[in-house]
Amino acid sequence: MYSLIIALILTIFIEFVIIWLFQRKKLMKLLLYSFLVNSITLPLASYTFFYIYPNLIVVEVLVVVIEGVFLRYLLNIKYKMAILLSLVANLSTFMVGVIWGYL
Amino acid sequence: MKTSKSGQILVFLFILLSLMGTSSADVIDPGEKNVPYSYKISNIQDFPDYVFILHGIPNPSIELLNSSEFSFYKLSTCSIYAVPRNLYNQMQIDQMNESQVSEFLNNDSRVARSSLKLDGTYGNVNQANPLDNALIILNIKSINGNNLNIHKEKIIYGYKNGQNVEKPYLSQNQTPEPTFPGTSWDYYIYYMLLPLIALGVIIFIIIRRKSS
Repeated sequence: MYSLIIALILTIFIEFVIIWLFQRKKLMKLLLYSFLVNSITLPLASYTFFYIYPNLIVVEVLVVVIEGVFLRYLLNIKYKMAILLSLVANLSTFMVGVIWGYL
Repeated sequence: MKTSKSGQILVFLFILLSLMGTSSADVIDPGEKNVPYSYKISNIQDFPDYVFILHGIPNPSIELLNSSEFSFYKLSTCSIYAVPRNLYNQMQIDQMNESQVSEFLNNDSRVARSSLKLDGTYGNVNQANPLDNALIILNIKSINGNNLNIHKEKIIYGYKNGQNVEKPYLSQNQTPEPTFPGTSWDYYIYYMLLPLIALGVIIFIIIRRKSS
């Protein structure tokens, strides 16, 4: 369980930084949005990957799409921008996860 | 509704990716771990007139089985043979080379053999997966002539936290899937409560924003 909590905290902060780089809005608001979005997608993605369908790429694609939809409404941005933001944010956390796995 | 070309390509790629295998048998990808199988024959002591031998490709050549658990190289596929004890003593199997052992076990009419094939590993799973090991309990139903009737009775999945979950085999060809061991409250919070609360807050924010 501790590894899941650490992964969630790391993901929230990494995606917060990425969102902030694209959308210079209030820091606390962006942090809250990152917390809310990842509190939905990371547990559900982990559960899906571990116990239902262990295909990382498919799970990641679904996460990008779902996060994109949430970001579109939370940040009031266009879908294209929201999906791009979600893609970059999730690629970043994915890369950190891969590097973490090697260490 | 007209779909753009890039949209069609994305849908095609998504379907392609979903059909791809997740990992190959012999390679452990970063972030994954191997879950080995071990086996145990529950009633081997009921057949004292036989010597039970594990023989597999590429190994082991010969491994004598008793009531203890046994396991083998993860890429091996093994079978169990029952050799009458007097024949075993007479044949001096341990003096045979690899091909002689294989020839004897697979073709000698006095050796009882089973069609049951045993695998060395359950497979690779994500590092975070609590599944740690899997023990398959085998049960000898009968030995008639050269027919060894041995069944997979149940599988006991062992988890990192020390919990075990038993699953009976309903079909010999279908390994029961592991399930979450006695889900504790922190798993409910992480996998259910947290996403539900977060979703509720997001919906609340969006509705409040629209109404104002």
